[in-house]
Amino acid sequence: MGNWKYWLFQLSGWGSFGMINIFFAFTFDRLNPEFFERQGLFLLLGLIFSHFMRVVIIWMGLVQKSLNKQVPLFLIISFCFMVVVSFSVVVSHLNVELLTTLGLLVRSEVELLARTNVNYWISSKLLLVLSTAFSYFLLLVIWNLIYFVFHYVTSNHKQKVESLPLDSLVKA
Amino acid sequence: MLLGNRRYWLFQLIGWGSFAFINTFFAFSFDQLTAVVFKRLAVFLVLGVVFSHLMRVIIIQLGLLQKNLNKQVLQFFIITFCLTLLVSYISVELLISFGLIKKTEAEMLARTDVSFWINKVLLVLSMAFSYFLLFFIWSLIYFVYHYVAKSRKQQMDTLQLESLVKELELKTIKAHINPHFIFNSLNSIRALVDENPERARKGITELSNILRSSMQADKAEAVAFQKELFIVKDYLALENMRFEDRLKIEYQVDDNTLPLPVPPMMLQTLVENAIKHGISKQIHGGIVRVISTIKNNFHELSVQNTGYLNGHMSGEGFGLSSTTNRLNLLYGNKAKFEIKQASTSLVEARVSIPVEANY
Repeated sequence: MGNWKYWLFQLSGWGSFGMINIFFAFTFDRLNPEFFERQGLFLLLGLIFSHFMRVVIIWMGLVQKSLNKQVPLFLIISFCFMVVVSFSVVVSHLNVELLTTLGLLVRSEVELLARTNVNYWISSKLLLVLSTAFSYFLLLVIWNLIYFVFHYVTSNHKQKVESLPLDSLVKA
Repeated sequence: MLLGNRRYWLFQLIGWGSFAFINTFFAFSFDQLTAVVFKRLAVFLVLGVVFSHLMRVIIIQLGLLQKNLNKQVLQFFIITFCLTLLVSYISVELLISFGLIKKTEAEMLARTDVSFWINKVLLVLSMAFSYFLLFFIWSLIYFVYHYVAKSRKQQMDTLQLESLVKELELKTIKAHINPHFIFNSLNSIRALVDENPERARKGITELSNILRSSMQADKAEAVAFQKELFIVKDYLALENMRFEDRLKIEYQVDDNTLPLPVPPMMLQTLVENAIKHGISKQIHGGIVRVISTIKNNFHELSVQNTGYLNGHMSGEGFGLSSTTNRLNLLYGNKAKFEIKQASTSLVEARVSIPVEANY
């Protein structure tokens, strides 16, 4: 379930993103109930899926693997990248489905979905999912980077403390 | 240094390039691939590359990566935030100058309910939000890259330190063995000086042979068992002069074990203990038996002696505890050392070393 520090980070991260969006919606005169519902859905899904992503990271032991020198770093990075992309697409798909079901699509989105000739190779719905996925992707990349930095720093600090007795032993 | 290396520019190219690619893809898919969109994207990218590079120059100039972690995090955030605002302001100015403002942006700037400057500030802020997300990712990747490199280097340093400690520990143990051994041998020779000077002279020659071997052994972590056996034979010949009929020596050595590597002076230590704590305490003397065999892929080295196991023999003496320490250092938990009462009047010290031990 994660500790209080983790939830503090989650709350600060998604909270500040929510606050910034509210600020811009307010200044651009778009602060209506629909905006709140859409924003709430985006944040809720972001929170749930980032937490689920943490479960996957822990389950696969990705942090430990990244600390282990025997596993090439580019493999870990590629794998994390795949995880983030997959989660972004899945969460965006769910987001688009829920927006459609709850009738919260904005006019430009409804127009896009109604178009029959969006492009000859990509469906309008997939396009909508992908454009939402891009927003989620940027946020989930930040989420992952912060998560890994936190664990790297903690582990590095622990390692420094552990090597102190060795240092003093050699210098004595 | 300030221009950056090849890898840095590769990262920059991949980062901003993929951002440009994704944006072009969406513009194309949404049928918005116009010259204005391209120009806007170009302005965004050029400013992004220039200012992210500027951020790197500032980070290097301030020596940010060398500062303590709390300062690093705070200053990274401040630099990102300030540069984001600056780049957004310049971006908005350039878009206005080049006439690349979107309709919604133009409408916003034209609002009359608030002043033009407030509208402009809001526009800069909304632009800053997009830049901030990208610059924040940029900073995090930059920080992670250098932190991981530093952390891996530190791991290597720790490993080197650990091996240095191990080496020093081994040297200390070896340094302890030699005086211990010399002390016992000189005592044996001293006992012969008045009684039989000829044999004492021969004994000194044997001792010098042993010392020479031990000096050579000091340099290596392991030597062939055969070499060890030569030293032990010299030593027991030396002791035999002192004990005469009181000491009987037996060797049960499997020839296959002769080339196997063993820690130098280890067998010598066990034999010394067998004499010191076993034979010398028996009025009628006794037997010292050196056995070397291979059992279940383990090289078993045993030294049996007549005597009774007591407090001194249960591993308290320096010789025995150093044997345990050396085995631990060299083989971890794969090697075993035990000392036990093998029969009513026979004590056995046994070392088991894995045959395929990796040095």
